[in-house]
Amino acid sequence: MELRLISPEEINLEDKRFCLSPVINFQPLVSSIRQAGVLVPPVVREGGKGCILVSGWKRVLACEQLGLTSLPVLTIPGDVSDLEAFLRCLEENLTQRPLSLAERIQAVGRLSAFGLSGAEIIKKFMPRLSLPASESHYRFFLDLAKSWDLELMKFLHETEISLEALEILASFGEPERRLLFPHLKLLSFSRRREVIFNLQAVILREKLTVAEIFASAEARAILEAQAMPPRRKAEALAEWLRRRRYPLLTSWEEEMKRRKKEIGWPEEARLSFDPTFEDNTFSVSFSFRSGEEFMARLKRLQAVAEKPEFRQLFRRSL
Amino acid sequence: MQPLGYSFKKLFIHPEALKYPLTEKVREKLKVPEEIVNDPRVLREEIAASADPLAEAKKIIYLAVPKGRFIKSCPCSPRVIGCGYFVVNSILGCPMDCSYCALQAYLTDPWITIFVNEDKLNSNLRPFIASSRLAGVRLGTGELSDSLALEPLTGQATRLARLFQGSRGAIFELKTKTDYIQPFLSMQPSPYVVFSWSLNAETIVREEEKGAAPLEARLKAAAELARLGHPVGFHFDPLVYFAGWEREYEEVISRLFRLVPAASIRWVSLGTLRFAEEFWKVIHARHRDRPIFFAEMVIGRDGKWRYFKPLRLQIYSRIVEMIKTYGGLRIPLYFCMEDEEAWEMVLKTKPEGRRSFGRFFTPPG
Repeated sequence: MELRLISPEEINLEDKRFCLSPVINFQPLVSSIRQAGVLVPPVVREGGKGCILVSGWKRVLACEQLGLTSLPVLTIPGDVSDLEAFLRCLEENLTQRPLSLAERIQAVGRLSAFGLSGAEIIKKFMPRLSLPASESHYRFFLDLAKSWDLELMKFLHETEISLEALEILASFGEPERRLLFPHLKLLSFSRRREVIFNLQAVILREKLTVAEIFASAEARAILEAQAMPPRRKAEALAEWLRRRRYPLLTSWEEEMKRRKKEIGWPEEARLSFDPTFEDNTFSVSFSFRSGEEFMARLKRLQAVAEKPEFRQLFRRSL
Repeated sequence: MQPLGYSFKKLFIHPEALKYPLTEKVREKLKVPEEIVNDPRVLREEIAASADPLAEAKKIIYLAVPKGRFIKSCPCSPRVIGCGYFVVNSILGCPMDCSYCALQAYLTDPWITIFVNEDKLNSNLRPFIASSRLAGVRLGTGELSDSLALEPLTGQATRLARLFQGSRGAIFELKTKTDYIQPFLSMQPSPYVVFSWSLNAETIVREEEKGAAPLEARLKAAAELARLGHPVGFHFDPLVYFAGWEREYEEVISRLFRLVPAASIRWVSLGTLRFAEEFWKVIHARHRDRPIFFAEMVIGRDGKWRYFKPLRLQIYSRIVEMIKTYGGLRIPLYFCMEDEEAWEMVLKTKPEGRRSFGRFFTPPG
């Protein structure tokens, strides 16, 4: 590779064949380049209508914004194949930073487009991209790369998601995914996964679409609540979906809370039971500092246990 | 020959397996491309390129010699009442492809392994056959495979059934979803050889039990063997909660007792759909469009997903009521992988250890 000074205008930024990211956030680099210049030269391939950028999109865009008339680049000859150039770009990226899921999907797509066989991509590259090295995953990623839904890719670039959750998410239609993205972004990784899995269960069980689920009165009440901050809205939606997926379990949870309140269960005593109601064993624990306090606690518990409603805590059938 | 309509495409043979007569028998009957392999990891490569490696693996048979024992205690679950079953691990894997089958996640190797050293199998079985102290103890080949699905290839079930005709107490169960009873039609019935069928609601059979015989064919096969005097058993496992479950299970139960006399039935087991946490990976990869996995299931303290317990108890109560209505009060019923509470609430009894199960399964008279 040869080090040269070129004008940013010599780079054909329309040609994104080697670009992995769906979003290029170059703003943090602008002040760094303003102060210290371009420390690591981008890589370009010569030829055709200007140079094709192989790696260094953030650097070049930052230079462009700063109005620099020249920047240092490493050039590779025009006869270097797309695949070879892309492999250099990939190596540079893989050694410098963790790639987002969107970028890894794009990498699989480009490797295939530049002529590598599926078997080679699965065996050599998917493990390096931290992707499961299986035929079915390869096909899935390739489909995603080919269809390239920019909104989904932006979401996957900015948000972490498990592969299982992504496979479900990808099975929803584009407009339906768009309904979900703003809320999913605000949830934790595990809550995001839970929402997607719960949605899938409701869709299959009730034969509904995401749009139909979100059009229900309960969902609309949450989505249209003006005063509710976005993060709380996302949490409320997640909780509502959980109730929809587990109607019996959540109604029993609520009933236990209500019954404890009704019988006046003493706050100082902790009543524990299996949260899934699988096991029928209860336990009570409380602390005390004297024999008198111990007796007082026992008496309060006894008074509660003598109420007829106490028996209802032990209900086991529907 | 492709037995019972299954299409096997390749036979792998471990060198140690080559000298056994069963290997020769399978090779002669199957007549598919063969490969001798020292390391079964080669088989993984064979299926790796498939979009559905588990389905692909069902087309592969591997003939081998087991490293360990042939007979093991049935792996039950913690906190549930085990029935003291022994699993005969002579064939691992099954050519059928039931969506809910735990073997998809349970078996280390997804292909069908036939262990061919029948002499060792015989010697492992001998203590069970010879001991009168094992009265009522059951063992069978239908846990890690279907007992009869490969019978046209191996003849193993017929051979083992003949061995157990001389049992002094232990009971050999052939559990199947096929209707392949032809080899047993001329066999002398024995109280120590029980033919059993996994049954399910028509919708579940049709939609979830790929490669299994139709429900009516299974019932007719059972009825035929019962008519010839063979004891039979039935397993309603997994019972699945779906729209119309009560009506459909009632249909199959009433049909069962119209075809099979209650007196021929040695046991009926019940178990609702359940699966281990790691099975979600299988559901996700292979069955994520199957609604049966998305009913209200919760994870229990043994790490298995089951229907929310009050729902489960309701399902069991209804099924038991149906069995008693159509089959009478004397049908021996037991649960697979259920806890004391389920036994007490639904069956109004609770077995006290392996001995009480022995009494439960001991042939009458």
